Amino acid sequence: MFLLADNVWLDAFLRMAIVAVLVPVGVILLTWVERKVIGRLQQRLGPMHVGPYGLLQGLADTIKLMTKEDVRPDSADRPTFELAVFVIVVPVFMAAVAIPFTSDIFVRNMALGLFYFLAVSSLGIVGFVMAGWGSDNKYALLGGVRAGAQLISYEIPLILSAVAVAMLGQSLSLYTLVELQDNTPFIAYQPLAFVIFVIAGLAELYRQPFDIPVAESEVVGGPTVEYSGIRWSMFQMAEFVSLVLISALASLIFLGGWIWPFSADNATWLQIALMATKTSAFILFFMWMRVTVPRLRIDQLMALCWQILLPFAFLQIIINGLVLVYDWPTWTLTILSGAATIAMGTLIYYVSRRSGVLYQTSGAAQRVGSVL
Amino acid sequence: MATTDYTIPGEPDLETIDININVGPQHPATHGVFRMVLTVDGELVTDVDPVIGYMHRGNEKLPENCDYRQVIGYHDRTDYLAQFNTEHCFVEAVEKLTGITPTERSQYIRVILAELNRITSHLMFFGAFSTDVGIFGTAFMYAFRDREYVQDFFEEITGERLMYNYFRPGGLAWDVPDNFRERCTQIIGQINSGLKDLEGLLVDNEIVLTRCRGLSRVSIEDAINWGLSGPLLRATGLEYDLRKAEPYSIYDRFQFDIPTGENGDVYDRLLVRFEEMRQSVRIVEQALADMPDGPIMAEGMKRTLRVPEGEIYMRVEGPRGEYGVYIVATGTDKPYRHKVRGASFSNLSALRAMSVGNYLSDVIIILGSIDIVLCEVDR
Amino acid sequence: MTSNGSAGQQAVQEAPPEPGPLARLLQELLPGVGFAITETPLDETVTISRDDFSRVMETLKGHERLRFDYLRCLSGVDYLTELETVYHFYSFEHGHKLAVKVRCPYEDPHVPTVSHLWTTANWHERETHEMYGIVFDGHPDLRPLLTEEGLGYYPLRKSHPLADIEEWQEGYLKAIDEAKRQAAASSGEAPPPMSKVEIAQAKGKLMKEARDKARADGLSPEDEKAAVRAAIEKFNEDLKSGQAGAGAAAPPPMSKVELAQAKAKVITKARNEARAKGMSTEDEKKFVAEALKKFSAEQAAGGAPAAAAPKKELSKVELAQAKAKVITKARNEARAKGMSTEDEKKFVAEALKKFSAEQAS
Repeated sequence: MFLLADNVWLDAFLRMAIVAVLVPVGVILLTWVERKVIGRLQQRLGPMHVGPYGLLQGLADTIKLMTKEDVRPDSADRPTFELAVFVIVVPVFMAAVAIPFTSDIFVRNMALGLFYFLAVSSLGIVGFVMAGWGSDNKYALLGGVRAGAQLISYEIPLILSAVAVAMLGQSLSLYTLVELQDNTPFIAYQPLAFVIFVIAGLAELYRQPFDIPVAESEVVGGPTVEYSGIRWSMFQMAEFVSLVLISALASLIFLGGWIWPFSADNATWLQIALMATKTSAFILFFMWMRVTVPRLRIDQLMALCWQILLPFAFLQIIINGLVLVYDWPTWTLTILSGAATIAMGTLIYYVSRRSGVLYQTSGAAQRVGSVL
Repeated sequence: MATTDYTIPGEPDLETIDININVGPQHPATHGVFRMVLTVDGELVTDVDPVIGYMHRGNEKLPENCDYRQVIGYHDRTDYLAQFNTEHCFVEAVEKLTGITPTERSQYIRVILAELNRITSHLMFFGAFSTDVGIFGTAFMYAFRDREYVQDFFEEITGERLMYNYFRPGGLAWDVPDNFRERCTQIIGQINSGLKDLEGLLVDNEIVLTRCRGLSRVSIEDAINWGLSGPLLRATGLEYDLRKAEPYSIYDRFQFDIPTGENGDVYDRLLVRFEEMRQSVRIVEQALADMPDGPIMAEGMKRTLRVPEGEIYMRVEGPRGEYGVYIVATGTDKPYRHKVRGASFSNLSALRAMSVGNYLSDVIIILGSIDIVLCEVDR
Repeated sequence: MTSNGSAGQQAVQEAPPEPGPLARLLQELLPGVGFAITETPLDETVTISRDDFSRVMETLKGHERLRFDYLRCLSGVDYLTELETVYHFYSFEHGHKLAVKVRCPYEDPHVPTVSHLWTTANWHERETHEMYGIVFDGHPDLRPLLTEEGLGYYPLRKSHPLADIEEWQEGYLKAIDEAKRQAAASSGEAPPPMSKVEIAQAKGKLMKEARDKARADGLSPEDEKAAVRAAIEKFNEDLKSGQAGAGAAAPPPMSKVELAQAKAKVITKARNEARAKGMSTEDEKKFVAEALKKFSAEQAAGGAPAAAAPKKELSKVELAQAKAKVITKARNEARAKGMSTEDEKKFVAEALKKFSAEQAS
């Protein structure tokens, strides 16, 4: 293997380097990609001046953010305020440990990789609540509470849709799950779980239409409002790394990772190319979503989670259970799950076109007298 | 800070209070230097106290020391998104007081420019509203692309991008360029195609529908009592447009419809504004077809414009509603009293009534749907 | 509309204008209420007295034949002796429009509120209150809307003359600048360098002088140019060596030694005085410190005798009020004398000028 050495210690070191070095560098590149892509979607050029095609913009921003003054509000709760950043960043890197990028490039091949990933990545919620509380800022507090409510709620459909895949593969090891998809990717059997995973993943990344915790026009950045310089850039880094990880996870458990549509013994470059393509497709999709859709309201977001996504996630699990227990042919899975996906899509469309069917309207009585 | 009798289940002794949140004067959603003090109970807004005056520049006092032609510039600065409409109002007021009849050609050009200005103002509204409702800039850029075409056109005519100062009592400052008709037709084409994009991206978006429909419903009676005007009033279903109700200038010569809503909610306000842009395009097309050649300034205009003793409350239909100017003239070259009735001033005064009891996110949208211009509110 | 400023022109009494249909309707519905009719281009305008105000407004809103449900605009107007409030109404039901005016005397600016009838009047009345000082009785919340609280004056009243205040402000700022420069000069420091504008102005003056002189001497155009150039070069050199900035008007600055000696004298004098009064040690110290402070201030004010800060230190508001008083007084005097309008204006202007001159000295 060209990257990973024979020596155990050197090997371990190099594997750690994947996480510790490649990920932040990837993030710097990703910020440039995001700005370029968004620029194109918005009929402008994006960064153009730093380096060719503005390629070094990410680097310039990094330097700027690192040299910026680290401002902390006087009245902030210091330990909470300063610890919050790490509570957000560390779990993200911990989660990266479990992701196999190819059959060789990974830090640790865990038997319970999927479980570990989902367990660790949900720790970041604590960091958001801490940042919201510790900043001593009402916007931050509102954002922190929103983040807590939203991220905890959307963990559930996210985990349930991943569980559906694990049921099908009879394994929680990401490596095994990928190897099972050498003929057909799981998306073909689990379209409903896939759709739910992507929607819940968007919510976990708090990107539009679910950017309620950081909503710029409402809570002005939410928990991050009081952070500046390097601390703020760590929030950004956590966000981008999560973006990569969720995309990578989606391509691993639904799109056949580094194997599909070729065979299990692909050359390494092909494996890398496959993973890169699939992950980038998800990343670009998330970026595209970010700039085209408006934001939901917090109660609508909750209604979407608890009244639509969660029942349908359970439905997927029930379908899987039935098929596995009665040993029906696998194509029944495709049909049942596909039908449920169409039903869910129709329901969401119907609800949004006919307001007030499922969502609560903000119908609190107009409590005003004659005086304006 | 109001203490509510609301208690947390299982914690009967725990006293909770509503918190006050200052939104503005530096906040991305306040469209300028506007501040509102929100009292929130969780996400629910229980009180709104709008605080204005950050942009107060004495735009009613200053004109009392300026001669009538100098005042035109202050109207540009009063509603800086609908400059031609405001200039139109003031110029008409002076003409009505002095008995000047503007030339035919200048009247047509005024109407064309005022209607195009209405379109740019509404495009600005859609751009700003899209960021309020959470689209990360795309609808904003689309709206601004189209606005830019018109803005360039205005610049070609007046030499200014923002403060046009182009209308004069009796006519216009100078004639439009020779290629006026061709450019106008070209711009109408661009606007029409741009409106289609915007409709798909923003107005017909499922999430916008979900968020805006049924939000902040206003009945016709309330709207009238609160002094709402313009798209907010028409969204309630009242067919009232000053261009039809009290036709000024030459608006009685054109065919156009008054779009109205049904519920008076935020979504209806969007739809009304969107349709108004199409109607403005219709007016521009008709005006272009009928526009005669001829002089652009009435004959016999003196260097110093003395307005005979009298008073007038002139009002026009601006993009935001009824823009009025109340002038008391004493026979000198300066107005004795110069009062501006900004549409957003009255519309904004209803903010509390419209938004209390809604969610924090919705209050931002309601504020956006009022389409305030702070310069017009504070003057 | 009758403004007092043009009372003379109104001497030829015209026949009162014909009442329009609305005014006739009002007279029919509200017998006993006096409606003075004014002709305006778009609306029918009636003026009513303050006593009838509440009754008229309630009828306007409530009566089915009137039903004015939309309050378009509410404006205040200052007629120097009286304040006027103008209401513009529209009726969606009948499509008719009306303007109602009511006047209140300057000393008693009270008008009943209409915010309980038309909610939109709330903000309009708040604004009119802060701008004109008209108190709308019964208004639920008359906080200032646009200006800060405790402003102390009513900006849109004519007694707050904008142009005069600006002129006065400019003079005041100039005086402060001058005082600063003098202070810098007298404390022995180098004078602050001339601003670019000042340099340009000085140059312009110099060029003009040189040119005029050359022309007076009858020089040829070439020589004239050369003369001007020479003058400019001289000016530049002066500027470099710092002489031009000092200005001829500034008194010779005290040397440091002289200053120290003067200070010592002040201290000694103050101490002796304090001891004579039998002060405690602390009080003595304070006394001396104050004397020193006074001395430094005097030094700072230096050679700028009149210009250094106005003596009376009137605040802007007080000044405006004082001016308004002068204007009113002059006008009344002029009227008492039976002057024509133009003469009256002149008289007032003279009084103002006199007042300004007094202020400046």
